[in-house]
Amino acid sequence: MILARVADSFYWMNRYLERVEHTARLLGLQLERLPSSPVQEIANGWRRLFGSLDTHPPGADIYGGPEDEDDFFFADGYTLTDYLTFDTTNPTSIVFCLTAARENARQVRDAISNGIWSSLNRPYLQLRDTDLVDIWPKEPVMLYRGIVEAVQLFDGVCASSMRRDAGWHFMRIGRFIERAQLVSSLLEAHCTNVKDTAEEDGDWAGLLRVCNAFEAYCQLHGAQVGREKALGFLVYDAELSSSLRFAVNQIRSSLEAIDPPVRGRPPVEPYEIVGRLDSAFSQHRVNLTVGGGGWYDLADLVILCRNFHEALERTYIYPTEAQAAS
Amino acid sequence: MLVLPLLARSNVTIIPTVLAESGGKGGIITMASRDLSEARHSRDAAPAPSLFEHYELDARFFDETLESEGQPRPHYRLLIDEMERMSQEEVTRLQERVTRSFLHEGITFTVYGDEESTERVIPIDCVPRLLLAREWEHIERGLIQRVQALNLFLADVYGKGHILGDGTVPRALVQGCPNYRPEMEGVRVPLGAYVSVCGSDIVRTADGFMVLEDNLRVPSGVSYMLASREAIRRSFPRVFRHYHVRSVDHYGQELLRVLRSLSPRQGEEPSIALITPGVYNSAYYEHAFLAREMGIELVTGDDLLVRETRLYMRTVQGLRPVDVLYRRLDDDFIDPQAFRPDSRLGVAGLFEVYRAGNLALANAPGTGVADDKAVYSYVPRMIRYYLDQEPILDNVETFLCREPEGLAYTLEHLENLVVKAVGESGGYGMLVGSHASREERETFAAKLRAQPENYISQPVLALSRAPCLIDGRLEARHVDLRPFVLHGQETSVVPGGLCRVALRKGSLVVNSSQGGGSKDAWIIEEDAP
Repeated sequence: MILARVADSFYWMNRYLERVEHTARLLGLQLERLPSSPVQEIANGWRRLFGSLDTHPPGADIYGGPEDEDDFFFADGYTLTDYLTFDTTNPTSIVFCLTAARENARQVRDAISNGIWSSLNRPYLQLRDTDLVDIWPKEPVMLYRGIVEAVQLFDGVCASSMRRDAGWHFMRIGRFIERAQLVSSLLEAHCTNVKDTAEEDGDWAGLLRVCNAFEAYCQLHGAQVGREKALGFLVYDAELSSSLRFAVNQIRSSLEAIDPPVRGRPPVEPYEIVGRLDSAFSQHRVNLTVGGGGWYDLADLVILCRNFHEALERTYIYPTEAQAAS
Repeated sequence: MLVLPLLARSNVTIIPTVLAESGGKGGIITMASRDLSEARHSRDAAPAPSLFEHYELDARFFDETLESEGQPRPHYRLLIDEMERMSQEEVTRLQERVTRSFLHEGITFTVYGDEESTERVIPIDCVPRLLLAREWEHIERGLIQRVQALNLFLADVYGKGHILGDGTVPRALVQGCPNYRPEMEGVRVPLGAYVSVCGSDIVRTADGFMVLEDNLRVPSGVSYMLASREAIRRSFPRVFRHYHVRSVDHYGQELLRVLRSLSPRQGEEPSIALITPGVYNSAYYEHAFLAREMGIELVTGDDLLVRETRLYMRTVQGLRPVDVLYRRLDDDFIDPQAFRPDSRLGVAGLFEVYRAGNLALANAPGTGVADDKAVYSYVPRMIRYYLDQEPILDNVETFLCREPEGLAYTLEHLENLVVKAVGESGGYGMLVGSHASREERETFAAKLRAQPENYISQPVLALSRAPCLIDGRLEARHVDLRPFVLHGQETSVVPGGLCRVALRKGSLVVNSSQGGGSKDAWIIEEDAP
């Protein structure tokens, strides 16, 4: 038994944290490349980054959107980094998401242990007291590594101390639906923005790195990275924790724990959506090349993730009076 | 949704009776920012200075720690020795560690400024205040007596009204009180426990302990008492063990026991929840803390709904009934149908469920009539009336301006009195005679004459002082003590309390939003070390 509002906070806390980790990973990789990479690659990196977060650089509305070819050639790395990290008015920035995660944790402060709270509060306080001006000339990459580790520490504290009750499962669902949505839009942004031509290699290794999947990929396929294998790995591999299929499997088992399926009763709406995604992944029915004959394009996956979210809220968080009473 | 920032009355208590002290202007002390280099420098220059080097005794104030210059009271000796053994740097670091642990654990309160709200750590001073078991037992007996009388009084004024009928307490005073709730007349309250949780403020002067006020609505601060204990015990593990400090750790269980005893469905496992105004409330940390301590659900008004005179909470598996609600919302806000219609914090129809006996509330609505500033002066009479006993703890002498003699006395001695508006709280509408200009006093006197029933006055009090760590050394600051009384089938007090400190030099304001801080209070056995 868990309050609907509490379930919602658990869910959102982890959606935001997943986003924090994802953005920190993308930014860390991008900053690593800034000093040495060609302008084209850097511009592509920004484009992929903003595309996957489904947002625009500051001022894009005035100077033209990211679809504008030249937009990121003249982009200033400092400004973009600051915008995606410290801008409290930007709902995709790391500070914004971390603050939102902490605010959700505060809403359920009674339901989480001191250890869990501190593991979230400490990085929040640290980041709040940090400025890009101070770290930019030193080693900004370390900041992002620290953020990723902080989120992993939070996960570890939760995993080692929480009961596997409904609160835990709503956390997991939040974590993995955000992952599925971010990875889907990252793949879409990558495929749209990175040209796979003879001159450019398509940066598939970079994509795997951002997804924390490069080493796993190399173990499985060797260091030869190509489009089909890389995309296939990130979408279909059931054992890879950053793959879409893995995320969907996790969501499904958490849904089963919250609301065990009953024979003869139609599955709840969120479960039904997850089931559709799962069949598409297990049968390899996603179009990873343009004009493929699968069931879904990458863009469709992003939409399905949104549909799932709405269905989840309808079913558990804001049910109609009649549903609630039954 | 729009949440009204609530100022729970109990959060904004100002010790009203201010005694003028020379040089009483000092900034707020920020505990976290100490100049370490300065400390180091002074240590190189001279032999380590005593922590008490700059400690000033003042004959006007009882000092909790020192008997006379350089002479600790016997029960403080062990603690002082321990602290003197530490270097100034170590003491400073210890203080910083305590403050940091509060920050990381989120033991904060919210302050509302003009533009944005900020979370602040409640400043906690690392030097505990020690009270002897015999001193404590006196306070304990006094508070139990008091809370029993106050509950009998509430049952009487909302019931047959004997005490009003025979004129022991004026009917007009009680029924004209803004916190009197006629809706409560004739309502059956489980166990007659109107006040289940009480936080009374105890001050000490050279004459002994006195009750400055009772908080009978939604008293707060108990979480700071428990968190301070946690942090200070870690800081002085050796001394703590030697003193045999009485434990406060069972407060959560005791409170839960009281809440369970109120359940309308005895014999069944009651469903209990704590209702909070939400994260924007200054005491939110405490609400979450207590819910966790007790393992009960923390709810907001939006989580609850009433159906067929029962209260339910919304869970992911549908509606679940609630039997007992520990409410940390003022009467005004609990039910827009019964009380303030613009409240968005409570639950429509909740009072009907309560009236029907399907729900217990702690505390009951309407308890505010018994902690009214004018009604306060009648508490000793209530004790004699209901219990046929002499009050164990004294009240602060109070003059009611509604009575001609009281008004005359107040006007005559305005310069030496503190005048308070009965309907107000948190120091609003208050005059501190000794601090006011002649002009201010004259303006106030006019108000007094125009609406005498609105005011009471009290003599200036010389609050006791205890040592606090300020800039790496000990200085004397004024303190009070808020113990927490629980009342269900029995009445009990957890041995200790929130010791509040006026951190600003010379100040008697212990309120956390006004530069006040807190200390751990240890109840120790007489012959301990």
